[in-house]
Amino acid sequence: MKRCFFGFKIFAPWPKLPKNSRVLTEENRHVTLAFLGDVSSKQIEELHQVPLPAFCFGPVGTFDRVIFLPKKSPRLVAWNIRWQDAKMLNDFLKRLQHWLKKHDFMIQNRKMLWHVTMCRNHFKTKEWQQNFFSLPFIVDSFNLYESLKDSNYQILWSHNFLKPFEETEHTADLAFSIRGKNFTELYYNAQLALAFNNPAFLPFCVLEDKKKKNIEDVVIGLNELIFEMDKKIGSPFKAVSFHKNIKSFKDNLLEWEMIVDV
Amino acid sequence: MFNLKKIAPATYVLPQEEGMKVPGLIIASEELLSFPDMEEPLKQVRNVAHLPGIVSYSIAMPDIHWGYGFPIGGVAAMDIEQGVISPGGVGYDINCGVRMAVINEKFEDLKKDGLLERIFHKVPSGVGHGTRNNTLNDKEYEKLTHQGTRWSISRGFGYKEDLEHIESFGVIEGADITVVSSHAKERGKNQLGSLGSGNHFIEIGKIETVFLKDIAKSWMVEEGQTYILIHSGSRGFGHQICQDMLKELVEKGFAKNLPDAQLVAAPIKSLEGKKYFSAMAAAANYAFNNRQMILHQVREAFFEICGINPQSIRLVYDVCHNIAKFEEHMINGQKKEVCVHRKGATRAFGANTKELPSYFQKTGQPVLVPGDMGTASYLMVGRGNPLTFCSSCHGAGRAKSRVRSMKDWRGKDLISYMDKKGVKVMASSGATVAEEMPDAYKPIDLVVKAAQEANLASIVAKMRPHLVVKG
Repeated sequence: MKRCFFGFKIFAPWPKLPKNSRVLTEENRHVTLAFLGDVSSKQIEELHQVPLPAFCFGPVGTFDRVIFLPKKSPRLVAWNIRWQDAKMLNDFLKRLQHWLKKHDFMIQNRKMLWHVTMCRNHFKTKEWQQNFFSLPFIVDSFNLYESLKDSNYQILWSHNFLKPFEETEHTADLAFSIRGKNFTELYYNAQLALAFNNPAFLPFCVLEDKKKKNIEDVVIGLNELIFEMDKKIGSPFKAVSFHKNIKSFKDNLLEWEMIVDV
Repeated sequence: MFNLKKIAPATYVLPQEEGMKVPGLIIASEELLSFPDMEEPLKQVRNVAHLPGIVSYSIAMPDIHWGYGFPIGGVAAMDIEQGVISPGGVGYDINCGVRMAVINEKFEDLKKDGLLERIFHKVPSGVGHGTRNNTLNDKEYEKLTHQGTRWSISRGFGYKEDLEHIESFGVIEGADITVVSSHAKERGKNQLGSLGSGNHFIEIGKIETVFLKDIAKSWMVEEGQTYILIHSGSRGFGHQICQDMLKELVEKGFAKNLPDAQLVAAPIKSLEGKKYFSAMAAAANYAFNNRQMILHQVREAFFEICGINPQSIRLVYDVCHNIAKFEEHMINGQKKEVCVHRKGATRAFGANTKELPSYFQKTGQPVLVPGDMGTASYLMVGRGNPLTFCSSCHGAGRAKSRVRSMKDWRGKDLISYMDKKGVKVMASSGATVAEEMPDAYKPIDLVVKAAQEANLASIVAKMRPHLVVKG
């Protein structure tokens, strides 16, 4: 029997965390979707039939606050998640839970609190509160994990997502491959790429209700945000260039090479 | 792929292909051409040759690397009647430039304890660090952008004699603040007199070797002497002006039929072309003032720590790296006015050029070529080579991306590493130091050698950095 759960492996521009506490290593940080308890080898085989996410890009979101769980006598420190597309994630979770119940897996029926556990036991609440600042993250893969000792986890199988953005090489400036289904998604993902590079950009991101019709719109929108940052706190990014190198990527997806003057 | 043909020492022609209005001209040695990542900048040289009204050649300096539309280290001259002016041919950091000053005191004899710390404290550097006391209102903006460096000097930031030692006497005529957006003014209002981030720096060191003794003597530069180099530009003000104009030109359709939208350009004589030049000149004049005010702070630091009279710290020269200028040049045996774009390139007028002050007419103008912070910088003299519209290189040129440099140096104690090499570094951000480590740049010796072989400029002196402030 193995203690198993479904979860998302995530990437973030992790900062230095308070010392003298049991901080989870970067590779062990994850979002738990469904805890399954002890599972037999036969059941593990059966879990291969679980419905996979319909989304092709790794979901993105932000950590917006630090939380301590459970509320009474907390034993762990976690970072609360705000998804860019919460509906998409909640729909997937419902499908997953429905399938698990239908196949007689015992899962808890409580309301989902989206979070990533950062540390267990022996932590100073104030220290974690004072050191917290908002960060973006992306989901790398949907995994079946086995829970080992001392906050270590082993991935039993994975379903990988496409990356919504990746930093690439450029001799003088910064360059990124930005991907999305449409120009609005390129705009959101470009913002998160910049926030990944420099998390101080995150408070200036506008991640909703901004429809973008073409790449010029995207560039102009991003430059407005850089202006706001530079005006208020100074910006390491000077401008996003009008570089229009867009190509089709997989099935009807867009990929844009974003070049940022620094 | 590029089929380069050598026509003279360190000089190659990139043949004219379909769509190119002129051939390319590459100033480089074989060694420099063999560096990786040359494909993108050479493509950009080819793209620039498509611009309407380009004259003679699309030119690359020995420190060429991948830039925005134009390569960094690119030069293009445009016919006044038929040609265009391109914000991408100047760059985001309008009139980013470098100035050099010298002190009549041997570097070895200088009281250095606390000097770097004092300069670091006095000159705001790094992201978001602007000036403490200077907030520009509309009236001051108008004066500053119109008067150029005279604005700073009239407020006590420097001396009248500095003016003759600044390219174009520290002012680009034709600036018009009324065409500059409120966004640009907002970004620049608290940044005057600050270094910024990225590759901007203040460097102090020793004149190690003098090669052209007569010229050095006439510029009062001596072996062993202490020098100061300051590299900065027009900060957020210039960036926003470039961005605003790019937006306007793209929206008005000026990018159509160009091989790269980043080359977007307006006819020089069009309303948009004139507007860009006026706004660019405003940013250029902001940049001259920025470097003037930084030098003032550095002079004060030398006074406070070393007791050196600020006025005795003599400005050798201040050059623009990113600018478009109207100049007269000999083209096909005839004198003609053209608009010369220099992006990551330095004007290198030779002797007897009437635009230079009498002081430099006998020698040609100083050309300042900073290298990486661990190796060397060079003082050169312009040769007025008509092939490059009297232009030369501006630095070592990046050889490695910022991302790669960060990865290579992650987890290492960079400050101690540089200290062991004899260079004390202070920086607002450790990341900037990692991005700017010496191995991120091409060897400066190769770059200046190629410029000298191609007769763009000659080496006057080699300088060795010892104290460096990075943004």
